[in-house]
Amino acid sequence: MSTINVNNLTVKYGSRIAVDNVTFEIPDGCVGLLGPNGAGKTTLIKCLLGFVPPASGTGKVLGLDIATSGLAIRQKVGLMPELDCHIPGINAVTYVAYTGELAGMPASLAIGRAHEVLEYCGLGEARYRQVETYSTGMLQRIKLAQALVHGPGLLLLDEPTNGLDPRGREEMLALIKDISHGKGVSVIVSSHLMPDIERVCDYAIVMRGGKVATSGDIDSLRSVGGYHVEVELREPCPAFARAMEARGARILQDVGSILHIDMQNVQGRQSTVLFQAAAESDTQLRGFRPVQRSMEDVFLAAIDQENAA
Amino acid sequence: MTNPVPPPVGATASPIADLSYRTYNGPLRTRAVRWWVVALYTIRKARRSQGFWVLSAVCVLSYIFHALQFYLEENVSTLMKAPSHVNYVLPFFSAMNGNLNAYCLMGICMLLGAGSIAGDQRVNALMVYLSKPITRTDYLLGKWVGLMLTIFAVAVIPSLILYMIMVAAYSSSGFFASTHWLLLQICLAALVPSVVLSALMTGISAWSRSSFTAGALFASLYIVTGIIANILALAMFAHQAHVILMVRHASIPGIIDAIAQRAFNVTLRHRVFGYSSEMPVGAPPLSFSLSVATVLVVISIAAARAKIHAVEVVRG
Repeated sequence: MSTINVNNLTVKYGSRIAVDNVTFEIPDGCVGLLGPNGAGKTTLIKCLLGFVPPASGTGKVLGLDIATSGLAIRQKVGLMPELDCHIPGINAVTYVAYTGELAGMPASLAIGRAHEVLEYCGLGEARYRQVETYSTGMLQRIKLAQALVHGPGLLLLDEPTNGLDPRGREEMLALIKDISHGKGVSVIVSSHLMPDIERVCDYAIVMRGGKVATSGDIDSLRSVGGYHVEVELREPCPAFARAMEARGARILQDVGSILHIDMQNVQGRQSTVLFQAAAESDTQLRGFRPVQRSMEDVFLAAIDQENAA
Repeated sequence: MTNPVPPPVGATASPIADLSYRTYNGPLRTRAVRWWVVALYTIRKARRSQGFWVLSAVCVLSYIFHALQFYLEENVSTLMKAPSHVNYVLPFFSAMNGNLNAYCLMGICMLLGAGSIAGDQRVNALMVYLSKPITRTDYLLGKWVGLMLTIFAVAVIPSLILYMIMVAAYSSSGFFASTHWLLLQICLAALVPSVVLSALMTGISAWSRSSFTAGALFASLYIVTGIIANILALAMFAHQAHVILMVRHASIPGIIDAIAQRAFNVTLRHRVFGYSSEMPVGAPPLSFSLSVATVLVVISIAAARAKIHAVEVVRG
């Protein structure tokens, strides 16, 4: 089942087109919305929540129309905004309980739930501190807590790792991964940080200039396809590379004991040829697998493709 | 060696409690009352403010002081066989609600209302509010009604206490016979300044960048319009008493005073420059003053609503 369906959606700010006639479908699970700053990611999120009306096109979030069901959508969705935002003058538990009440939870249940989500987000010890005194990392966590408090079916996380130190970033990514797998919550992570998306998401949509540059499963996006193989040897062995070249292979990259090999012109089964070359060069083959690109490579390739088009 | 990807924080924090994430499937309130959540929060926040309690105490002390004054005058007049206490009751309540307490209410309004929307905008709290299933109107209504009820409580509670004391003290001497509508009059006279001041403050707060600016603008508008109206009344129409009296009410405190006078159906006497004795300071008709107040409220609330957005949209 898809979480979000968008058809020919265009969003304009005056005469400037922020999202340009995009069509895509987002499946359940953890989905990354990738793109450089100004790609239209945040505008798309705002439009999906009904903050910015679409200039044309249609869209559905959890089966609800974005043009007419903004409130119903916001009942089922939790938003972690990119900007630092909180309600001034209260402590964390009051703040999160209050946002739960705003979402319709009775006060007595909201306060209990606030304690739960603050514990879950790692703010249990700091729950009675004023939110204004929080560090950047804690502010990110409390934004996540207020988005989770009413039990949304879909979480929209806009740049969730912004301003976090490496440890905070790891913890935030671990939290996102935990929520989005096996908890019945779909998560959309908007970010310009490719490694973050790579780490936690199963599916990605790459945006650029208000358009969708590419989309698909992370594994299929990263897969080069065809005949590129990554081979790991026990130790560096130039004889192995020569043996492979003699069988028609092309060495693309040779970094110590790891080689990237294009085996398009090799005759016979890839595995057999690799074992034969290893035996011939008297080296041990530790493993081999299809070469995968990083999300950064995927992103750059999508942009090159779009530029060429 | 440290684990590069630590497990979710909640999942391992305690060996006893289940701190893993669970979704919420409990009951939800109807959407129609969401504005009340915002209003209740505004009231709770007011209760936590020390300044609010200090100003409320000043307001109550002012009542006690004037009530004592009234009591002494009434007793003296009884001894001198002067008209009954009823002649003093209505002017007293009118003066308290329309004039004497107005600056106290203005102070409370400024203290609690200046940051109500300006403060939220400063820390992007509107994004938090409006990402929940509430509308801009819910948010605005909550902010306005919360402030209004707080001011109303400060304005009406001392009046009601005094009313009850009077009922206890004078019911045997025909108090009710001459003041059938007093309770309603008290409520109306307390409600009008609450509604007008809170709406005005909310509108100004929505358009201000900071609480300080909002408070300063509100105080200036309130005080300056009052001063200008008084100066105009005295300087331009020194020899036409009825015009003086009308112009005197062409200000925010003037409108509140006028409605209080009309609500209690009294004409207060004030010393007017150029006249040797105290002059009766009449007020415009209730319908006129109420219309002006309504226009003020509508403009303020509409202006505030125009400024409330979840996201700042810059038109290209």
